[in-house]
Amino acid sequence: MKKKLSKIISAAVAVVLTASISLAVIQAAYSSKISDSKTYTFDIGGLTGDKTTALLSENPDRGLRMEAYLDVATGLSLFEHAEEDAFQQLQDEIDKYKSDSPTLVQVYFYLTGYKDKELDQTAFDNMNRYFDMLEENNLKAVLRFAYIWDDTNPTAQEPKDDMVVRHWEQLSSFITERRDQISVLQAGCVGAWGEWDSGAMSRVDDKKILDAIMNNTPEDMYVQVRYSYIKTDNFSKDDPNYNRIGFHDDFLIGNLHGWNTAGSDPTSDRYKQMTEESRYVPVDGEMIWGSANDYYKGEIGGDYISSIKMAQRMAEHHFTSLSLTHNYKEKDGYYSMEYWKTEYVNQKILDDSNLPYQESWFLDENGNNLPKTMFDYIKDYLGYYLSAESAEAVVDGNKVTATVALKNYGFAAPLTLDKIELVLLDADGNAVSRSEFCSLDELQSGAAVEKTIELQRPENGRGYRLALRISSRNGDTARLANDIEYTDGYNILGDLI
Amino acid sequence: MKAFKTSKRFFSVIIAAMLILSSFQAFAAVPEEERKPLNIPEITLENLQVRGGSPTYLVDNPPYSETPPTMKDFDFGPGSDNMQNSYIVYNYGNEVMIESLTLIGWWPKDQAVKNISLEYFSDGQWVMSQENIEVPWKTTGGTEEQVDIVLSQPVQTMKFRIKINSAYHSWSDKICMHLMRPNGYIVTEFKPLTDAIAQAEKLISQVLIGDKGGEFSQESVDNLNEIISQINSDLNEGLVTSDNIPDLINKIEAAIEEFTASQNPMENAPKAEIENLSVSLGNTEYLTDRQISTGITVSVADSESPAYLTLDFSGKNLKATGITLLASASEGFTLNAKAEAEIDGVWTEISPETELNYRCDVQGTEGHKITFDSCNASKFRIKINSSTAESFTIYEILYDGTYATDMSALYSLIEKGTAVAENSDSANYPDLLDILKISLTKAQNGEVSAYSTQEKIDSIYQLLLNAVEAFNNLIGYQKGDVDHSGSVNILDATLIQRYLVHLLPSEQIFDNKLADMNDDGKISIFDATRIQVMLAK
Repeated sequence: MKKKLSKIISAAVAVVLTASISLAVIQAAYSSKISDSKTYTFDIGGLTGDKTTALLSENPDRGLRMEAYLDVATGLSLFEHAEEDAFQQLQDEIDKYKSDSPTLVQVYFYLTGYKDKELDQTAFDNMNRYFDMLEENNLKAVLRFAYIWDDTNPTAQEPKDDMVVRHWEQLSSFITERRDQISVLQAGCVGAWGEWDSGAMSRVDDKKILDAIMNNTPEDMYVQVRYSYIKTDNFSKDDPNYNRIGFHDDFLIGNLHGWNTAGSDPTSDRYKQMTEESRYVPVDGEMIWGSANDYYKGEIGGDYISSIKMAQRMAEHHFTSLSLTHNYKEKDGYYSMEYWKTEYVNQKILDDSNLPYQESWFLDENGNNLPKTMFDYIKDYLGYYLSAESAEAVVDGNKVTATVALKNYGFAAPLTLDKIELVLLDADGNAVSRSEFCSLDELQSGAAVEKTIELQRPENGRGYRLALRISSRNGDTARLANDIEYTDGYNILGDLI
Repeated sequence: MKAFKTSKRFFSVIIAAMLILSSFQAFAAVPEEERKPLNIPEITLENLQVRGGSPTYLVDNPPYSETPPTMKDFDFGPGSDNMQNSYIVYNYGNEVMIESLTLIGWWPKDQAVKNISLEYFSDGQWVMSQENIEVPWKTTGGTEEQVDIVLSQPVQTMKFRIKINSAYHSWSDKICMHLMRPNGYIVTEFKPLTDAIAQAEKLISQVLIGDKGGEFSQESVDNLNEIISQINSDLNEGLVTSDNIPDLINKIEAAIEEFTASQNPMENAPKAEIENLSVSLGNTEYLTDRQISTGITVSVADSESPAYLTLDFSGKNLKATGITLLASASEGFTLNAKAEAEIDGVWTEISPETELNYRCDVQGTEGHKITFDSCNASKFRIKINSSTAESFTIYEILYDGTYATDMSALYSLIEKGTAVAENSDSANYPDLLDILKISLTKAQNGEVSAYSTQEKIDSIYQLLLNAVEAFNNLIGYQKGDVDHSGSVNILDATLIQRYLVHLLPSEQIFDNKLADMNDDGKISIFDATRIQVMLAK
């Protein structure tokens, strides 16, 4: 009996051992189909013009932007919306421009009710509620604080400089907390609508107020000023804050005008200064109200503002954003931007006008030419317009050496984004290796940046994906203008399989 | 001798008289009653900016009021005491005789032109006619004053210009005038020729050169350019007469025809057709060649009936949301139109009537869109109910939409691929599993269904198929996959039900083991239910 049992046990053990060995043999015999030593060259085409506006308009921190107002003391809006709840006005603005898919809104926070006193909890509650609403709608702010909304009686609403300074001290933590929702800050505070008119400037200590702004805002936050001399008169070039200061031009009419940020003389030093500096600091702008077109007809040179001249100015001075609210369809009017929607151009016209574009932007999915409107052109090329021109990866064991060229066809470098990274993803879409691709200011308008970067491949014989991730501070990502897969915020350059 | 001297003197006088008479005849050749009035010229400003109003007011500014100011302001500038190279140029396109100038100023001694010179274009250059004319304004405030300046010698030319040497500027550097009109008559009507030249120049200025469909070769552009240049040169040198104008126009039209015939053929473009439109220039191929300067000039043949512009996509279904007409005319005009689609063989309205208002003043080409709810059809058309222009040119018909695609095969494969990926045996082949996962991620991307061509969808399908088939014979089938389709779906539950009532076809694959979902050794309705519950999760 004992002998029989031991024989049975031995046989069972033998079976198990044989099975295990067989499985091990089978598994040992299996080798991965994915090479550990290979060069991949990826075919990356440009996005065609029949898709760009739909697929790129949600790219963050650039483009056409809305405008909204909050009286922080009352929670009401201002101007023609003065009787309205500011939050409703914001919602109305969002609804009105929904088809244009803006991701930015210029937000005026009027501190008029606090011109003689410190900000209180009501003010912060209203501001926080406003930013919560921006977040819910995936919008970021081009933020401006102001006091004076009544330009017929400005001194009645004008605070003392010390009060302005105190307000900035109070706002500091709010701005820091909301940092990721603020694309750019505008200096504001001085003059009607915070636009630093000469009369108001004569009554304030510019430097005191500007220092208060710079000292109470994060060091990596850009601050835009209305006129170029505001920057140069108050900051020397070796001031650490000098390179934080950008511009906003609130009198765009196509033709140059004395009320432009750098004046109307393109041969002047200040104009040249803006041309050069706007490469490295963000620029925002707005046209005049459409209802004023008739009044400024002579200056404009016609019934509406020239789209080509606007594009040329914005390309020259590297504009990142432009108001949608001005000279488009405000108060149910039909103004310049509506006209631009009817102006069809082709490559020849843009070439003759020295305006940049990506070749595929003028093609459709069949490879045929596709005339496009000047509205679409300005909408797509404001700020950054990034395209991968080439991508190659050399796999050698656990090392992946990727060479990628990225080009910016847009008007401006992506200065208000957070970072651009080259990433290796596993098959489940998890990032397993990443490296900064380039600094944001390297991607100047018209520049192509090629980098060779080493990433680590965790496991041999496995499949990975090479991707570019272009991130905003709040986690939003941007899509490249390429006919490639865009998944979970990753622009997939190619698969290492 | 004396007689000879006398006769020589006599003949000199006669010859002189004849010369004087012939010069008068040259200028008095056209009797007053036969004179054609000057046309409205193209007016351009050099080194001056328009500040308000239209340059056309300078020659055509009919009174709108009985009390001053009776006419509209034309504001320009900058004006000063010492203006440099500031011109107002009048290009008539015809050979004209200019005899005088009428100026009407408003508050003239505060803001009108002060000192002017008059020049005319001859033999390829500008020639001074009269220099430094001090305009004899008499009045200042609140008056509209007319001054007429008669040229000491009338000039025959195609282009005339007023050089503004100085202007009054009491309040600012703005110059304001109500009229600065050369007076005279047309000597030779070149306008049909200059219009033909302008048409050819516009064509060339915006065409695309290259190998793509609808584009032109550099050689064909150069050839047309050469002909235009030659005729322009002849015009400038005064070599064109009324006799050879028709021939030159024919030459240009023939050159345009030859040029447009050299256009690369379009592929993958719909066919355009027109109905109830008479064509004076061009052909329907230009409507879909994606060039914004080649077009077809038409007029409505029967104004009592609508006209149609049809796009035929040759049986391929387009999912469209709008159609745009790029068009122009000699001046602003309106088309009242609506969009229609051929649905089940019947033309069906898909948009309300829309007013398309063309301003005809854009740098590129003006287009207006008729939008509609997404519509699938292989033929669309614009029905033009009325046009305020007798004749207009249509440059292009564009559409917003993509060709309909079929994702069904891909969706089915995604289901199968997902089942394979979830099969526990697949983990034994990590590389193949990675390839499968990556292929699935590609296929499931939302942009594929929204924006891809059928070609791209098919390519993604093939990639995924390869990834799925790599697992053939490597892994077992999933529990519940009774027909070995590669995935568990409602058909498997149905097959179990059919099995239970003995209605399963004999050739149908039916895996009893995989059907036994609860592993109780038998196949029952509970197994079918278990599949249904699984699918519902």
